[in-house]
Amino acid sequence: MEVNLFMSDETAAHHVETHASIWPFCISIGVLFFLVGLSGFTQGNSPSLVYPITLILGLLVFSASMIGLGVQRFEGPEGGFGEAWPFQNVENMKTGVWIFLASDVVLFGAFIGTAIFIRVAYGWTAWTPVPDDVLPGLMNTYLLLTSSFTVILALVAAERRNRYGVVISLITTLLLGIGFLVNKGIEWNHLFQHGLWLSTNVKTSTFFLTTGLHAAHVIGGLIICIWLIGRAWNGAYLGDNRVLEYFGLYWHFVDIVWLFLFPLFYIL
Amino acid sequence: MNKIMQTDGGHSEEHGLPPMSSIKRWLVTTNHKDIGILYIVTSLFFLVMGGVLALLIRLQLWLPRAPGEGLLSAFAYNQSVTAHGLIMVFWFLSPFAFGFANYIVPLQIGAKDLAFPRLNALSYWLYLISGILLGISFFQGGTFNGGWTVYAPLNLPAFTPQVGATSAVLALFIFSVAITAGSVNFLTTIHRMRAKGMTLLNMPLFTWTILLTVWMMLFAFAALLAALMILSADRILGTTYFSSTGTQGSLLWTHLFWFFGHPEVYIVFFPALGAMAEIFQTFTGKRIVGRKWFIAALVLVTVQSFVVWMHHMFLTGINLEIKTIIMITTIGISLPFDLMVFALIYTLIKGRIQFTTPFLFAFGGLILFIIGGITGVFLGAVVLDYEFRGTYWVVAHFHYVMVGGVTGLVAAIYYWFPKITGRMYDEFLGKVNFVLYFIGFNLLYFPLFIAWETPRRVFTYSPSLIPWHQMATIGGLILAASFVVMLYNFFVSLSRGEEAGPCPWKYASTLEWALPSPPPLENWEGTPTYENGKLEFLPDNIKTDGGESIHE
Repeated sequence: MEVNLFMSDETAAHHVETHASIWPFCISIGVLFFLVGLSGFTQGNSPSLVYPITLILGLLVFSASMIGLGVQRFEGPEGGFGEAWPFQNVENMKTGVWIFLASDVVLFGAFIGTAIFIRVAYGWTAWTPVPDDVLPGLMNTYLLLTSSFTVILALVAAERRNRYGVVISLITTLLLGIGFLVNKGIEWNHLFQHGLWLSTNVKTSTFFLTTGLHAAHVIGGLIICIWLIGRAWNGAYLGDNRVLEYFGLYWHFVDIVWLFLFPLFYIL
Repeated sequence: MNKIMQTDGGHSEEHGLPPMSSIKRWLVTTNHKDIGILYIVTSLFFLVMGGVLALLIRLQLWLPRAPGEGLLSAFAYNQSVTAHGLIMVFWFLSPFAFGFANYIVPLQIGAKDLAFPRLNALSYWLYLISGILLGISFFQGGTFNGGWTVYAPLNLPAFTPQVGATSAVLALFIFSVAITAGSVNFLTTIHRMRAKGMTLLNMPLFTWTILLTVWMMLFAFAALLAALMILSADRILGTTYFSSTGTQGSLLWTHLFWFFGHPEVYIVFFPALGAMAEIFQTFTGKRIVGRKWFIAALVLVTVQSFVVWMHHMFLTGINLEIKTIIMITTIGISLPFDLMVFALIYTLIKGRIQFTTPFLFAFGGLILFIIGGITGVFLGAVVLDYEFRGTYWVVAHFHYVMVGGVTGLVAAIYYWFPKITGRMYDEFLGKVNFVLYFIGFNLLYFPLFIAWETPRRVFTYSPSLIPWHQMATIGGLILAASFVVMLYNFFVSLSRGEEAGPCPWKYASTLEWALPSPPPLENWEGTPTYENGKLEFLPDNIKTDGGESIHE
């Protein structure tokens, strides 16, 4: 879905519809190489160099193609001609973002449910949180909450047609997001040095994988954010801040997920 | 109607797309009809792949043999059983149905394309590469060999150490990503892009079933995605989800898998049901009886499909109270299906039937589904399930349901072949195809009910059951032959079939039949609307949103 956030705001003036794009094909080729490379790993290691090289090659093709897709001008058809219950007043892209988030709720729901299931099987009270210190997690909670606030500031700035306001708000969001990741990196590194790794035990497995999936969502969001900053610098979104709003939906969702993960993996 | 643009080859350079004869066209296209064709052709390749594996299995089962005797080694047999299941369920059935969904749904609702055309192309290409990755996995020390349900702990490197097993898991993972992207796309399209007057209640039944299928896909595949991410982490990074808490780790997998897996049954069957409903209406000249109730039943099944998954787990340690509740929801979900079956039968009684090939397949699909449905009720009852679980009763039952669905989709490909290609298929060969198919199908799967005591997924069985298994093997060969007839029929008809014209059927009533065959790239000129109670195409320049459009 991130893919499609990239092109909805240019529906305004001229309407030359194109039906051609090579990027979906190229992205998939990149993914294929990436996954073939990934298949050779066990316990985080690969016996031969062939697999890591294939993986990196795939990643490069994938990234280049994603950039190609993001830069390409492409116009999808519009909707909302007739009855569109229950999305009558929600335009296509927004509907798509909401529906994607609904599936992401199930994804995280399954991860969280799994963590709880395993903890019950393990013995709820016999289980202690993996991080010995709550503080990094708490700091990250505030960082993420603040970054959600700055997205709203960007939205308001765009409404007021304030280009610098949009850019600065988004940069703040980006920095807060990076702060979240750096803080997490320090925390994880600390745990690694205490000999705690994904494969150490089932507690560390659920901790690293679930918060890791969340971190991956943060990284995805920040990549979109960088793209938005580039566009905003050139004066996009002023008067039409819909794309910022869709990014905000996603970013708030990532924030809310963290509000579930934090107590589950740091406090309980 | 007279406003419809006529097809002609000269238009093929439009919208930056090369002509259909060029390979480049198929790499860059984002048009829903092109992608529909790509899905159909690709899924037919996977049908052949899964079918060959099935024949290998059946030939091995000609006699009960010791490991290593016969065509396949024990390892090869287990790989064949696993890959056959995975390919048919994931890489053939749903993508085949979504070929039609891509091609037909936008036409039926009056949309020019799906809401996100590039995302649609991405879904297709990710689907294709996921299948290629599964193919590659055979050459990485062998593909996954623990059964299509990928049960823990067999799914862990301790039991399936080969690299190919990891590739198969990753292939499933990226397939699920493709499905999720496709679901978002179809949901947005069907909810947002219907023509004026095409209300939800007026929607053609095929579109209805696709809408409900993608709703189920959205949630079911998200759960599978989580399961596969965790499994990939266990295999690749060394996390210990499925190995460290003893039997609970295995139970966890079954919960995650079947939360996806039971809706998946309806996910693969609904599109076939929708196609059958369209075909019944067209070839009886009668609107389906109790249409509103039919739709209500579909919606009910969609919701209920998420609360029956534990009937796949009656032999696990979940307690009897929960098993009983799940038995009730499971038997309960057969009631809306009863309603739909009776609606279809009553439509036949009230209408005047034309025995065309699509009708024969749709009708055959209904009969097979009835048998599959009734034998499934046995498995939904806790006590009977204790006896039948893990036997060929299960195998026979779900093949009647799943391949019953395939029958409906074969009806669909005959039904829409003239629309997609502009040519008629050969009616005589079509009927030969049906006779071979129906005989082959029943000869293949019915004896498996009788030989139900054969243990599932195992290549040896009691010698007293040899005649039934040999019958099934012969049936399998006949069923395979019927598909050869089908592919031959289509291949020849592509160039030599009669021109079909916009609508070769007397009573077809959905929008796609009002267009030329095949429809032009932009589907129609102007904007389709049902506002005045009938289909009309309004010229673009009176569009109310003030948008300006460019025409050739």
